[in-house]
Amino acid sequence: MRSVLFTLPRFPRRLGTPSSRFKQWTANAAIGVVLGVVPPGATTIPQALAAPSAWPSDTLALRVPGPLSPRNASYRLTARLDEKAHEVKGQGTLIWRNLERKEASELSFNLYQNAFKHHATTFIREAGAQLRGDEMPEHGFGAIDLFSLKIGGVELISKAQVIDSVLKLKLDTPVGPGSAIEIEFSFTTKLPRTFARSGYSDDFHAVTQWFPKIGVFECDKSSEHCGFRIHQYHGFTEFFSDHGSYEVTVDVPEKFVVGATGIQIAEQKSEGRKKLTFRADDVRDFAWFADPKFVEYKNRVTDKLGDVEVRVLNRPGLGSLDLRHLQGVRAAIHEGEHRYFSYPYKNVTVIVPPRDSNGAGGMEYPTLITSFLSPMPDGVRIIESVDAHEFGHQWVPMMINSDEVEDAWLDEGLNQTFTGQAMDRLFPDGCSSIKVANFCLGDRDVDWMSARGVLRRMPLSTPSFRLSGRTYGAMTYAYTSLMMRSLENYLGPERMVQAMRHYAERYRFHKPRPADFMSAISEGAGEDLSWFWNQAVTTTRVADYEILQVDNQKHELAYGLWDCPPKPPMMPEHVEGAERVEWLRHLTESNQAACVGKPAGRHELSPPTDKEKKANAKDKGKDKQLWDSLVVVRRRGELIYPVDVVVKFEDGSQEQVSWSLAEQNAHPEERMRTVRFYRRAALERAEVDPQIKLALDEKRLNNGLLAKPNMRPVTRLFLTVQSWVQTALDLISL
Amino acid sequence: MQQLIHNQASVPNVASQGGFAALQKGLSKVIESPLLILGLGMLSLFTALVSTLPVRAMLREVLALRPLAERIAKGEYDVGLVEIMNDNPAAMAAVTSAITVGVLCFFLLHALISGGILSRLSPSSSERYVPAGQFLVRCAESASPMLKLELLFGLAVRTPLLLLGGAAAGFAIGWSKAGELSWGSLMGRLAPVVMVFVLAWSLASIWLTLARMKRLDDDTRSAWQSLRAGLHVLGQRPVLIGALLLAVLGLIGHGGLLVLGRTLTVKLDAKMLVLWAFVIRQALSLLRTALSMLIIAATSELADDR
Repeated sequence: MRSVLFTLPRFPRRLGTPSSRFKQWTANAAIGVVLGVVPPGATTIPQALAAPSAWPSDTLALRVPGPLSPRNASYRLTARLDEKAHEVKGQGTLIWRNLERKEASELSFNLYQNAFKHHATTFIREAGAQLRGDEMPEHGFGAIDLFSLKIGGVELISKAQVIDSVLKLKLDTPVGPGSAIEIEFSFTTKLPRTFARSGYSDDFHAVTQWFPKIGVFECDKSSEHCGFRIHQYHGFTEFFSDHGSYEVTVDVPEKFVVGATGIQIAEQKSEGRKKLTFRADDVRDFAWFADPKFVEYKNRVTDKLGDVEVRVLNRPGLGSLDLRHLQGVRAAIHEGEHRYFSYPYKNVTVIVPPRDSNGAGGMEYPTLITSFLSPMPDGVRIIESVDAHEFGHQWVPMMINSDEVEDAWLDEGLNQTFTGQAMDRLFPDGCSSIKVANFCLGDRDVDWMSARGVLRRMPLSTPSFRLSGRTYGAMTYAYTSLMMRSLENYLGPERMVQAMRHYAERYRFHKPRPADFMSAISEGAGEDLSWFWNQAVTTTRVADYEILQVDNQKHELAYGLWDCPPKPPMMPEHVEGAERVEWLRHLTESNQAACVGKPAGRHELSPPTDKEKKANAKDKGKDKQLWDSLVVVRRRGELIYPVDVVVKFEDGSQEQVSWSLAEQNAHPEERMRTVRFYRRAALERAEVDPQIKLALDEKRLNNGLLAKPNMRPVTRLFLTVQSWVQTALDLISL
Repeated sequence: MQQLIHNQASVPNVASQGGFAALQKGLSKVIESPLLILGLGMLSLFTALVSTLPVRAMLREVLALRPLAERIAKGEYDVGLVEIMNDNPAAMAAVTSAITVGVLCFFLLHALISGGILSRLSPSSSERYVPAGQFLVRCAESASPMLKLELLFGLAVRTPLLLLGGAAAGFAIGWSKAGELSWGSLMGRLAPVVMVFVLAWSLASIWLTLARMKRLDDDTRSAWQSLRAGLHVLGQRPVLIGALLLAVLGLIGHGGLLVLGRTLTVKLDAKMLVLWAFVIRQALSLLRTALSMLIIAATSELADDR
């Protein structure tokens, strides 16, 4: 059997074999990578990859010249929706190119909908028959059946082996490095009832992960071990695939409104149905949604490249929320272009699923996102937040193509950080999550509350699909977000943006792994950050700094026997730093005081009598009192991070002391640091990391300590609770 | 308890003059009873203080030495409250239990003294009326039947009313379709239901007062008979109109006091003017007590048998 349709010479100037424009277009796009024109790590995609003129609509869906990606997995698909049976009958052609320097002797495809085939799939066993609290409805199973799989006109379906949601096909003739093959297939996808991203309810159809999608073929750095990086559809993690171009024609009843990846380039109507053709370039997936009840709202967001068309397909009666969707998207576009690079596509579609298809909400697809219905007041900023989050995914992982199954924190986590930043841009009041009455909650606070519940469980570097549900969510999203905020607070906002842009530029339309990310951020920031990554990513170390002790003592001389006249004091060798200075001062002043008006010899310096004390108090006044103050700061957690300790004195003055990274790393097992002060004012409070730069800090209340109890806030809070109860008691008699 | 007065089916005099006349007379009765207002106000203050003392102990332990407490108290750092609750689950459970016990005790106590309050607020011409010196005696005499009545009323009226209210709210928002609505339309649909429910709740309270009166008037009546007799009086048109007026007054009055209280104290709390906030809250509590007493007194005037 001949499986390879056409094989390119190693360094071809042009394609000869593929006859169709589609083949030529996709293959040419891919060839740049084979040629080494687009090395992994290149900061931009060179123009040498420009699509051939034979494909006139090559950059139709883009606002910048393309191609932007290798386009090594490109599809032409047709799909007919049977709205009664909730099935999609489809056929398609895939042109896939081997980008590696070793041959591929088998092909692997994702058949994602098989995850919903029965209760013993990987997905259901891991997640239960639910996702994010949405339960799988009864009789809601779904599946994908592949009827035909041809390579070079030869039917190979009988040789394919389907395991759960992955299909493997051994090839008689391997696909050589740089070679491309054309694969034709036909299939039927029975949609599940919606609970996990795809499916249907009534007329609403979320047609996502609906066609056989080829996995990602790759070799390790030595090129010795090659194979498809493909996973079962796991319970909590998502997807991973190559970039390509898509031309998809969907056939739906005429009354249906369709939202899809890319832009619509054609429409044909006949016999109560319509065929809509969509084009998308440099994308890694194609999803579409159909519902006769969608209500369309169109607007645009302007950036330096021009306009991005925003199309919201909302539910009936919810038009008042359209602007909130637009705001969320707008904030994300501007934030994304600040932190990553320009959004290159012409449009984005926002889908609002019905309530009973809530499980399809909160998802990202290329140039298309799904939001949630929110029967909440405006102050609960969930619509803006979800839209900003899902739109942020247009960069990670849609363009910066990380593996969502193994390294979910590279997309969900970084994007969670991004969401907070976009929401802060939209709501600078610090209440980016909730502002209802006087209650205020920011995204950072929400992440912190979530992450502190899963500390000490698994390191972030754990392959994401191995994390169980609750741990997955809080670790991948919230913990990563706090980690990145901690890093940003260490680097400063400008260096952080610089580092993120460096990473984004380097890996856009490539496939970074965590090591790539960490080294790119270090490079971009201009500093070796391995001290941070080695703690926050690869270990379960917890961050927690606290002020353990704050103490004031009235300063007294060292009473006892002193030799006069005073000599330079001799200090024990083990005493270092500030303590040595303070001790020396104490010795000197005490010796001098003991010798005032005394002849040479040994004299006793005694504490003042009560009479002398009273006289001193009158003479010197209260403000003359000297205080020896002490602050003990403790690293209660294991994670080391540079912190500042700010101490305030009763006279209003304050002082800042740093506990640097170098100091802490010099003696990592010494978890306490004592700081002494000798002042004319007593210490009022001490706070470690008062600005909470270490966002990962597990406990914040213990960051500060007062020298004396302050009952005012306690009384204020207590009386509020008391008044609530009293009001309830008063109203009992109603 | 001796039988105080015989049941008569005649239409009440004040009722025939309308709810405003009853309100006027009730108001003068309330004004004449400052000690009763103060006493009831102190009772709720004392109960609330005692039942929330564990909150103070917990907050003192957790916050007294923490600089962040100031920001939490000013409302600048709400997430701090979450940290306190998360990190002190045992203390939170203790606090919740103490408050629950406090509220239950107050509810029982209030039921026990309701006979005394009603007698004290009845028209002085009524045989139910007792002078201040007899207040506690009347409370003791009527405690048991009043408690039975309260419990029966809770079971037979309050609970079905709650269920009905829930069902009406569900119907208004279309049950499972609630999630399809925006906040505005959700509130728009719920608002009339809530208004009607609260009005019905207030009207039910007036019914309870009438039932208490009937029970006090005739100690041979069972709780059930008292409820029926109260309903019978409430069903008389002039009484019903007056009762509706009182229910609306109660609704507006208590709602207004809640809004006013919140408006006034939020700013004071943010500025940490603790004492002022406390004084205002107590003043509002006394006003709430006075309003409740006014409604009881007016109900008594409205429906009293002569």
